[in-house]
Amino acid sequence: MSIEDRVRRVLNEAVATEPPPERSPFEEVTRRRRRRPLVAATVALAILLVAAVAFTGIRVREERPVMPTPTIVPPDWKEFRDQEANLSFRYPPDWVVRTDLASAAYLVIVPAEFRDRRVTKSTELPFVVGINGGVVEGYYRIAAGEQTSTGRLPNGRAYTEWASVVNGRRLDDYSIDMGRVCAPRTSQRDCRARSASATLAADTTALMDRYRQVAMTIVGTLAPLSATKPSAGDRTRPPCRPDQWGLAPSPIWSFQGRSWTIEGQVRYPADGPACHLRVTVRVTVQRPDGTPMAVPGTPAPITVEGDLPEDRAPNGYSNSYADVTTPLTWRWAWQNWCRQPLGQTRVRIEAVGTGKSASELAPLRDDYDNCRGIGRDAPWGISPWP
Amino acid sequence: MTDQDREFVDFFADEYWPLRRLGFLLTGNWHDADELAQEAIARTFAAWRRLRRRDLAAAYARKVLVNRHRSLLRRALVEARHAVVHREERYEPDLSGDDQLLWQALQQLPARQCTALVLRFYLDLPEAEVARLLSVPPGTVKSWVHRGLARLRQRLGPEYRSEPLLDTEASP
Repeated sequence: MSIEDRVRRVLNEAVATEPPPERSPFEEVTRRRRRRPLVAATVALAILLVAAVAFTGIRVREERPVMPTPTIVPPDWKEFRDQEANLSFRYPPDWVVRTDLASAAYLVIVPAEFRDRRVTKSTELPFVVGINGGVVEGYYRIAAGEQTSTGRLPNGRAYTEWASVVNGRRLDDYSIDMGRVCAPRTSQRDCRARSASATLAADTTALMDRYRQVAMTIVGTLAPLSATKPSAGDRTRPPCRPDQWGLAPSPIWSFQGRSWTIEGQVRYPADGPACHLRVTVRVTVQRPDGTPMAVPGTPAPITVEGDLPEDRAPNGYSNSYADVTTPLTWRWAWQNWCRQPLGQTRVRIEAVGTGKSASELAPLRDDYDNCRGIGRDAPWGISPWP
Repeated sequence: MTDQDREFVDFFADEYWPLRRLGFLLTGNWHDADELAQEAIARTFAAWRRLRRRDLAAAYARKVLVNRHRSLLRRALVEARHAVVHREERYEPDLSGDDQLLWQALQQLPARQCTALVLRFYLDLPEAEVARLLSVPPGTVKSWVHRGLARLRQRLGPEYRSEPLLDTEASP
């Protein structure tokens, strides 16, 4: 029996003995149908409530004392060094670094106010700074969010930043470029771009406000223990020839259906010679017959630079979400793409001056919640992201 | 009962259970399967007037279910980064030894490969239809199916590894 037939058989057998639902599905569906006007009213009420609370909050915050913010790192701050992760940072003398808590971060830094609390999870502490990084992370990440921004820390390192609320907890994530780290005892050319990440996590906005600037001073001291090379790569290598590499677009993926991200990397044979690539990519949108469509922002050129083979798209890249990145990753956001029905369109990516191009079908407008309520005036177009 | 209510009852009777089974194959969890199927039916009916051809309602409901499953996955990815991992009670279907292994291997595939295999081999949809459902090019579906099957072969042992591979360079 072929593998396809076995998969068919197992899938059918897996649902052959179907347990009954816990509740009457018809009643549940009917309730969902009726719930919609109620949901709309609840949402409207919640918006009014949030506006009122925010207004009150702003007035209260003006009177709230804020912890003094150090503009430079005070000399009495302690230093944390981790040889294995090739990472160091500094933190206030009365804060503690804990590695014993269950947490998504490999270590958490806890303010003095909460340092003596007996807890087992980092989420049980009202405020922490979680750190991951060094050689364990890939190049810096872009994660779920239309609100991702970029910048540079006081030490000059580039970062991406995005805020979110997960299970009621306010999170401010930073992914920080740590430069290229060469793998020990392997080929000399295997020097990959690495990042560290820091998460400021607070139970309330007030706590986030109170600790943000001290936490950011800590984050600003994150650095590799040993010197690293620039993430843009080794410009002394020979330039990559056009026949050595190709475009590797990833399927266009969405963030909550509303904005679509167009992403790609560089394809490179596994055993190709080492070289350096600097290339500008552009994006255009076409109808199925190839006629161009006028989309604001296009062709939105992006220049990427890195080393090959280290920065090539990983195997199976087309199955990946945006967490897999290298300095040769490019991304555009098609903001509010579903503002108007477009029919089938094709996104064409072109590497300027190389004759290389690739295309992807853009998604069709569908029943996405976030498409509703997008007015004709909402900003619509393609731009480099973040 | 209005004509629309009657249509809804008929649509529910015809489509709820197949949707529920599809939801289970995508999630491995009957509770989530019920959630997905109920949401798909409710949303499809909300769009009832816009569906010009009622014979396409089932396909529309499948698309809503698959999209809803994908957005739940994305949310889970974000939440997982910040939450302490907890184990869920999983329902294991009553399968014999090798089939159980194959089922477990299917559940461990990347979500998009698993979805492509379920749509392709459980619903027996052609690749073009799977591509339309997932809003990706047909080449991408071909690639997901190929990679998914390749991983399953690895899990099943040498008997299956010797099978000829499909077009190995398939990519979007």
